Amino acid sequence: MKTTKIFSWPLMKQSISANKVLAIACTLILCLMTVVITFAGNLIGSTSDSTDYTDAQTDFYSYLYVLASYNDMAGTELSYEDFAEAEDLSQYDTVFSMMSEQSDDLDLSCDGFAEAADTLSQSEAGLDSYIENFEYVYALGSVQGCFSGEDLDVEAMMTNMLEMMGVSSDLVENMSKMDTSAMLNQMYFTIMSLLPILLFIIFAGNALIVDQVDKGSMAYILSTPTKRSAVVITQAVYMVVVPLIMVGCAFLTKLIACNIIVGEVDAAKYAALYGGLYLLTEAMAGICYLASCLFNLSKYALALGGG
Amino acid sequence: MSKTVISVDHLTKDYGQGRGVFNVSLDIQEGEVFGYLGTNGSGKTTTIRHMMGFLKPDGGAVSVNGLNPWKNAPDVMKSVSYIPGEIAFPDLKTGTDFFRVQARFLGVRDFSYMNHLIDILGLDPSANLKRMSKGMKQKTAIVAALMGDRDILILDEPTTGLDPLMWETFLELIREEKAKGRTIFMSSHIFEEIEEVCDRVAIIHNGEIQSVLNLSQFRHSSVRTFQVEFSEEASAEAFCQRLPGSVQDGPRVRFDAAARDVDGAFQALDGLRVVSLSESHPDLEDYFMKTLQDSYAKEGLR
Repeated sequence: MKTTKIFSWPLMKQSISANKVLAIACTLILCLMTVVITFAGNLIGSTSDSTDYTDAQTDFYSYLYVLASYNDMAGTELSYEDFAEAEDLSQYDTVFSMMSEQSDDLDLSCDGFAEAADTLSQSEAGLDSYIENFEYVYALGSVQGCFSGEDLDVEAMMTNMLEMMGVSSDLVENMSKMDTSAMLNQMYFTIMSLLPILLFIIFAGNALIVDQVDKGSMAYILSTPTKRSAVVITQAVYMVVVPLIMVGCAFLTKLIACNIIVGEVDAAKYAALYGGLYLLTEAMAGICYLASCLFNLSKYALALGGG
Repeated sequence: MSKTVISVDHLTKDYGQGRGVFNVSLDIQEGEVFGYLGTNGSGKTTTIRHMMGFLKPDGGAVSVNGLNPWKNAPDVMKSVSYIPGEIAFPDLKTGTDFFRVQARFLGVRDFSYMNHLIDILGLDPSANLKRMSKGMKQKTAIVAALMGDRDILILDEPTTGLDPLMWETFLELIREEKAKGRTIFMSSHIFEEIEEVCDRVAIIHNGEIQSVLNLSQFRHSSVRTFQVEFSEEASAEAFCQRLPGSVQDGPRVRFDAAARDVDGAFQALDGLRVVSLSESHPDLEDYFMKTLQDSYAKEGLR
C-alpha cells in the first residue's frame, strides 16, 4: 500500500463531486451574464449616436447665422422652415452667394444648407432641437453681461446652471464623452462577471479545507495513508484548475454570443481581457485558500477570505 | 512474548482547567482486544487522537508499530483502521458514493469484505448520507473504517446509536477480527461491551489512568460469591459459625466459595431453613464505581 505523497486523485474526485453543484451554478450564471451583456452592449451601441455631428452643426449654424444677420439688416423673415418649404430658393441663393463673397472662409450654397440639415436631422436630438438651440446662442451672442461686460455664451450658461444645481461640470463633460458600450464592457469585467466567480471561490476555498476540519470529516481523509502535503496540494490544484475552466467557459460563451449577435469578434482582445480576469480571480483565490488553511473554524476563514 | 503494537508513554496534553490527559501510559499487545473505559470527558478521545497523529503531545510520546504518528501519520495509517468518535461525513450524496471514495483512498480493490460488512450490519448504502438515521450513519462509519481490513483497529465509541441486535452483531465482528489476529483498541463507557469482548481494560478518569486490569479475573474467577436468606436470624448466625469469613446482615448472609468446591460450602446449609439463594457476579461496573469512589476520596483528601 503506497503512501500518497504529492497528489491524491481520490481527494480530487471527492472535491469535484462535493462542489459540483456550486461550480456548475456559478458557471451558468457567468455565461448567462456574458450573453446578456453582449446582447445589451450591441443594443445600446446600435441606437446610441456615435457619429459626430459637430461639423454638421457648425455648418448649419453658420447658415442660420447668415440668415439671422440678414433678417436683422434687411428686415426679412428667412428661416430654415421657410427654406424647406419654399419652391423658389432664389432669395436664399442671393443671400448665400453675397455672404460667401464677403468672407473668404465661408462657402455657402443652398445645397450645402440642405446637406447640413439632412445630417443633423439624423441625430438623436433632431433638427428642431438644433434650430431652437441656435436661437438661444444667437440671442445670447448679441448681448453682453450687464456686470462683466463680457460676451455671454450658451455653453458657459449651461455649465453655470449645472454648478448652481451642484453638479460638477467635469462630470457632465465626462459623461457625454463616455461610450456606453465601453462602459458596459468595463462594468462587466470588473464587477458583474467577478461576482459569480468570487462566490464560487469563497465557498469552494472554505469547503476544500476548513469546513472539513471544522466539521470533522477531514478525519476520514487523514486516517488514510495520505500525506498532509498531498491534501493541501491537491486542493490547491482544484482552486487553480476549476476557476480556469469557468473563465474558459465564459470566454467561449462570449465568442459564440458575439458571433451570433454582432457577427464579428475581436478574439485576441477578449482573450487578453479574460486572461486578466482569471489572474485577478486566482489572486483572490489565493487569499481565500490561505485563510482556509490557516484556521480551524469555518467562520474565521470565511471572515478573512470573504472579507 | 508478544509484541507491543501501540505504546503510550507518559502522555500529557493539558487543555487547561483540569481537562486533558495527564501522564497516561498504556501498552497494547499484538492480537489483544484492549478496552478503554471512562465517563464522558475523561480523556478517551484525546488519547485516541494522539494515536492517530491528529494531536501533538505536550509531554510524553505515542508510538504505533514503532512509528511516531504525529510525524509519520501516513505510514502509520497504512496499518490502521479508524472509527471516529463523531459522525461527520464529507459532502457526498449517498453511502455508496462515500464508500467508493474511501475505497480509493484506502486502496481497496476487492470489495468482498466491504460487502460482507454491509450485509451483516443490514445497511442500505444507497440512502442519502445526510438523511440517514443515527444508527445507519454509525453503521456507515463502521463499514468505511473496516473495509480496509487492516491489522490495527482503533475504535472510538463504535457502538453509539446501534440497536441491541446490531450491537450484538458488532461485538461478533470484533470477535471475528480478534480471531484473525488483529489488534483492537476500543473506547467505551458501556460496561457490558467491554466485559463481552475485551481482554484487558484501562480505566481512565479525569485524564488519569486509574487502573489497568485483566478481565479474565472477572470471567474465570476462582472464587464465587453467594447470597442466602434464612427464615430466622438464628439460622444465619449458625451458618456463619459453620463457615467462617461469611458476612451476616440480619437473616441474610453473604459468603464466598472456592469455585472448585462449591459443594463443600453448601454443606453448611444443612438443616437450616433457606428462604432464597442467589449468586452475585463480580461486575466491572462495581469495580469501576469503586475505582471512581477511591479517586474521589483521593481528591477529597488533597
